[in-house]
Amino acid sequence: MGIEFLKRFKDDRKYFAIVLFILFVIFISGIVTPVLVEKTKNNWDDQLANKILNIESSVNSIFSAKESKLLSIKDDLANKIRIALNEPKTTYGSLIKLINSSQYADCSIEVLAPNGRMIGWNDVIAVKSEDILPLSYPAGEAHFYNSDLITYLTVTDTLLIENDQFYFVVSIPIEKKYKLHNDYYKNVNFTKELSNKFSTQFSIAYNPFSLLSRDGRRFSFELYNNKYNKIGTVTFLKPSFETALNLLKAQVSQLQTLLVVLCILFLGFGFKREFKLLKYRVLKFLVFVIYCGLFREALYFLNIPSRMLNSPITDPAYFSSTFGGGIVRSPAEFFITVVFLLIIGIKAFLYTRDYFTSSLENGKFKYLKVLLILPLMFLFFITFRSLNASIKSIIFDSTLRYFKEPDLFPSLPALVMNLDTLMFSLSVVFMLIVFLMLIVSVLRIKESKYWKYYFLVLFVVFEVLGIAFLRIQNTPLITPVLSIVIIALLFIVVYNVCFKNFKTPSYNYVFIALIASVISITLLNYFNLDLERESLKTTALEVNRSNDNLLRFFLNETLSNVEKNEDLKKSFSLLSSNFYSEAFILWSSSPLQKESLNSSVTILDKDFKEVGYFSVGVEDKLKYLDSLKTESADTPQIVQIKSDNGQTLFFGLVPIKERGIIIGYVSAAINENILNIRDNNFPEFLQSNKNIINSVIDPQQLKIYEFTDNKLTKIYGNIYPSLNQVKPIINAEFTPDNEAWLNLTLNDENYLTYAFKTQVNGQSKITSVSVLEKNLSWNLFNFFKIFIIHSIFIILLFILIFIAQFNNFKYSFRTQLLIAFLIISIIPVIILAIYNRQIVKEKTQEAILKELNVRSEFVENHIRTQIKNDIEKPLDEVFQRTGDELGISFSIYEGTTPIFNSKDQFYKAGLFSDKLDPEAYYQMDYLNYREFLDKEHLDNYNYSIFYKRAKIGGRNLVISVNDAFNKIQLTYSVVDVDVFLFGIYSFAAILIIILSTFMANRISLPIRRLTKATESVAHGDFSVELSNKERGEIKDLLDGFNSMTKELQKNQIELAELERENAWKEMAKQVAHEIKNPLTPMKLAVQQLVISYKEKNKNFDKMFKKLSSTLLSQIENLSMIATEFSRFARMPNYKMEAIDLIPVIKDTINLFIDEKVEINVKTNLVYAHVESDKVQLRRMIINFIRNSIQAKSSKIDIFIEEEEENIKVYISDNGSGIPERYQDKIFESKFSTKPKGMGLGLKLAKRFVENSKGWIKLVQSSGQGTTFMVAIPALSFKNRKATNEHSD
Amino acid sequence: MRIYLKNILPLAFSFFLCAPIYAQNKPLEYKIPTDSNQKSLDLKTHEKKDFATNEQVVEVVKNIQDAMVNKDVNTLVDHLSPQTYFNLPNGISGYYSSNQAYFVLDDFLKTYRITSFNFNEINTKNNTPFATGTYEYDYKGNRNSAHIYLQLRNAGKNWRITQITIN
Repeated sequence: MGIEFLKRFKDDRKYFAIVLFILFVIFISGIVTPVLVEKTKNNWDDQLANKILNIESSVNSIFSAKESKLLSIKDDLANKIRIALNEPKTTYGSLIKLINSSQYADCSIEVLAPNGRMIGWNDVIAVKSEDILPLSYPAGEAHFYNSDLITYLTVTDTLLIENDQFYFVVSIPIEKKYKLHNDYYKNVNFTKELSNKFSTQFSIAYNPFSLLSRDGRRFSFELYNNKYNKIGTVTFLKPSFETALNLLKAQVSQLQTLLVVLCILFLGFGFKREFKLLKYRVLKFLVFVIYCGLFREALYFLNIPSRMLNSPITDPAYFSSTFGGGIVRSPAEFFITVVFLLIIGIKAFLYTRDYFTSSLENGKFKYLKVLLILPLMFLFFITFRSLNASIKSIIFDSTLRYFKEPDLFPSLPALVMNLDTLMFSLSVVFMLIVFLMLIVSVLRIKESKYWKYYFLVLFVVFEVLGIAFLRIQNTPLITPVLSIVIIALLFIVVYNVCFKNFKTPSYNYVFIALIASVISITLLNYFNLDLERESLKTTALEVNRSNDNLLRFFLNETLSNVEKNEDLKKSFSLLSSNFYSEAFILWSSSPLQKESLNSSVTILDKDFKEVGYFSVGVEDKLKYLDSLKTESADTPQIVQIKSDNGQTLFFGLVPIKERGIIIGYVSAAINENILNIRDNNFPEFLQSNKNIINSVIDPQQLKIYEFTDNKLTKIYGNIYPSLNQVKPIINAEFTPDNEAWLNLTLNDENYLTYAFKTQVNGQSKITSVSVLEKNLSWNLFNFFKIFIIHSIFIILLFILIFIAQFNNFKYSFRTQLLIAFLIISIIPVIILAIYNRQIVKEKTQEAILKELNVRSEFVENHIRTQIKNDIEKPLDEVFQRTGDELGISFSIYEGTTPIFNSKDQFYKAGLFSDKLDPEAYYQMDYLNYREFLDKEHLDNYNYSIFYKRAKIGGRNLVISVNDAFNKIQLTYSVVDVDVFLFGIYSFAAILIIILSTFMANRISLPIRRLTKATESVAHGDFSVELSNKERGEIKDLLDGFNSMTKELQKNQIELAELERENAWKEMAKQVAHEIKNPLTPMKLAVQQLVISYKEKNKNFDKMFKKLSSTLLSQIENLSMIATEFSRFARMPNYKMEAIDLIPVIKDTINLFIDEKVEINVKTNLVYAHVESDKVQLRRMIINFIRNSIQAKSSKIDIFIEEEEENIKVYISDNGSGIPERYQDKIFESKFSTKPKGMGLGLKLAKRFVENSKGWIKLVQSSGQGTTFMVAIPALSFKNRKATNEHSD
Repeated sequence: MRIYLKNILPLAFSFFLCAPIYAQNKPLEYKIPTDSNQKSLDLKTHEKKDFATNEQVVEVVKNIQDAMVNKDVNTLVDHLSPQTYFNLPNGISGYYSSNQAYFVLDDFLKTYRITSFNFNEINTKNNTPFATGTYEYDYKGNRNSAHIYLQLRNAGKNWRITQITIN
């Protein structure tokens, strides 16, 4: 019974067995889970203890790994330094190079000489020189070091070189105390890392004197270093039962989800056989779509892939739409959906192409199908609109700015969205092509002689309908021009697929992908312009968003958090606290940084004396302190102040108390400024990710005006309009939503303007945002920015198709040509692209150097001028004044120590290293270079820095200027140039591929035709003749072939004649010889008879009997000879065997693959078995095709069907036809309508067919073409008949 | 047809059998306390406080509060502007269309599970009223609290949310 049961699961049914097994596993998991939950509940105390132990040991492992990494870097560095310093030829430069090599980029290295002087360091100086010696920890022992902004894991070690003891310190960051909300910030946070990993709250004390927590809800343990000394304490909240339970359930749920997906997949495989047996393509397609739809919905409900992936591509913040109930709720979900859509699109295309080539000739349902045209057109335009709507959603429902990605290759979410867009457009384009192909098929355009004209008419009809369709919509999504262009592109694809390149499907896919890419990028560009227009609205909203209430809220939040900050309280009690760093830490963790507000945080001691501050865009921050000091300063306060220059300042103060006693104060200020939108005071590395305005449109292009009670009060931009110019704004008609769109003329140029009205404190406020109309235009840059990414995907597709068809790959002449063309064209293009890029990079460097040089000259000249004017002035004041007046960010160094920084607070806060760059020090101090350009970085923010030696006031100083605070604006950035270069070159690469394919086809065509013709000759077809329009050697080759075949044909005829003649001669000789034999005895017998009669012999009767018997037997002999002769003279036997007509015919038509004729084989039969001679059958088909070609046919259809137990083959062409007067004679021998024809072809065909017990007839012939019909009894019927006869 | 039934019925039965297993794997729901200790901000400013005078605004704010507590994203989205500014603790910061806002809020409310939520001040002085409140939540097993700032704007006959800031 078991075997019986198993037997049911064979072939596709085995998948059902897998499905049942999976369901069983799901069932078991469902039963086991509550048991596990109950077990956890009952043993929670033991489990908790185990969990705590596990967490402790895991934390120790993680920490040990970091420590090991530090120690291995230390050991590696020690070896290398030892080798370097022992080597006499080692220069100081090589030591600096070693320390600054990229392998140590993530750590801080400091090398001290025996006298304690720092002789080598890299970009980051973690430990202050004064804190290194004397050693706080034994050499080689890892410990924590708390710098102002970062906590490091550090190790100090010694190096003995020639009896001198050198020291070196290696540190890796373990936790940053500040946080910035932007992409430049590198997040290093050990506490958070552990909290996320173990899903519980962690806190770590990075000092050896910290105590274990006594809170019962928490667990503490000590952290030990490599020498088993305590260096810190780790405390975490004990895992709760609920959390553990949720985790268990989540894991089981995840497992069950995966199993369900596998279930659905294998279920599909199980029904594969039934699916294949479905008769109608429409039904097959519907079933397939339903299955895909159900599978997709199942994945959505099971929350795949969001549940499995923890990545930006599952974040709906990048893109999401409520379409389809959430199947496009993130870039990853969208990807899954478009994969299914693409599979459906490709399937529809394949079925339609199949239908296109095998539609019934008998015209069944011909008139019914015409009724389908209207619904197909409707579906076409609906699908077209849905494509537009979807692309619009991709732009508007996304925070990704596809055309403003900072790098050439976009971030992961943008890359996935680009792929999604291309795949989606491809799937929709496939469907649109399907609708068009169906319409072309229903209208039978391809069969017609004037198909080109009919196709053109269809194209015009669609264009007109497209425009009409736009007109009837309430909100047309695109313009008529765009509609015309896209429909034209689709028709080009259909023309290519249906009429030109039907035989090369792989080429079609790449071509369709290219067109889909062009369409999608065009639409993306168009809707991005819409978005740019809408961004005026967003700008107005943003200007109004930061109102008084919100700013107060932020200030209150900041001060409330500061009040509770324990680290700040501790720092008041420490002597060496760096309050500038503290102020920066408070500012960075507050909403002030997150909102990129012009703001400041100031720390004051209990006597209101400033001890530290961090400020961006707020001047005179303490000027208004007095207004708060006089009031009761022991409670948080916020005031709103109007500054002297008309700006509104929000100012707050909060006391810091320790056990009820005030130990200090913190004040915060926010400057409300319309220039907030893109303030030049705000350094880029501090700006938050919000990028609201400048992500869509460059704020420099905007003109923003604010009106209060119809009076212009604030201006952003470089145009100061007159009253007349702004009157249209004041008098604009606002909608009920308080919005208005209008066109403004400023400086004789047209500005698109959005105005927004609000009420603030009883006053009417209008905010208008304008942009120059001509700035909103199409540009090639945008096209190439996306096209680069699409072209990579298209090339990958090309490679995939090539690999998929590798088994059928033939290293033919055409392939060799194609490869040669590609190598010759693409390699120089790539070399040129790389070279151009290198040139641009160098030019960019030169431009930056030049700009920084100019800045340093300004600084130097300004300083010198001041000194010249007042020689007694202290240098500090001189430098300060230069910094204030020029606004250039610069530093002055004497030796390796800075004596002035124009952006002092950033250095005081510890953001920038206050030691001269080691490479610069080496170049300028050791090598005596006058200038040096370098690239430095703050986390992921890169900037250029230029050093220049200058003698000022008798002192040898180094002036350094950088663009960290005011980035140098180049006309074209390296990214812009990359886009242009790679965009153009990738476009060129694709064009090269297409042209190379075309050229390879074109050049190899005569060779391929020659190959096929040679094969035809080998099969006995000597009538083949190649038309010759070539030139040069190919022409000679083809001419030679034609004359060769003619000679062969002539020789064959002559040989046949000769052979026939010889055969006849031989036959005659043989016959003569054979006949002579009986004739001689016959003659003798007659002679004897005559003699006997004359002599009246008495034995005449006896002799007559005997001799007549001899005569008769010789006559019998003669008769036998004649019969044999007759039998021999018959034509040679055919080799009759059971053959399948369909593959034989298909194989035969391959010989004509390079002819300028389209040959189609259409049949509904799976096989067509007959008993016949394969070779003769091939010859017959070749003969028919050859006749059709010679009758100037461009299309030959061979249709095979079974009718009344006969296999009927119809051969139809669209040639010039057979004149009516000849139609009765075509099967006669030696009749031909061709000047050089032998007239045997049809005769031989008829003879062969009749020999196969079939018949052949001319069905019809006219000026539009000719149809022959060949009928041969089907083998199955013959066998049945033979069996029946046998039984009778 | 018989073949299909013979093959499909056992599988369908198995699916139904497994459905309850899925149903039980829901995470524990946190009970929202009805009386929560709300600590309101004591904003001492030099401007007079003006509490809710516009009933419609108060009604809208109450609806939003209830929607947040019940994680009713549909109701929340109904009150959003075409472009709404979000500033949330999970790093969401910027303007989002109402289409996008649905899943942004949905994700946020699932990750930062509300344990207590209350608007304790509603100001309707201008035509851009705002409300502030406290939001207590559980994030990956850790309890935290934040302050919420909600701004509304009049759009025809309706009040729409223009900004939600949670710090």
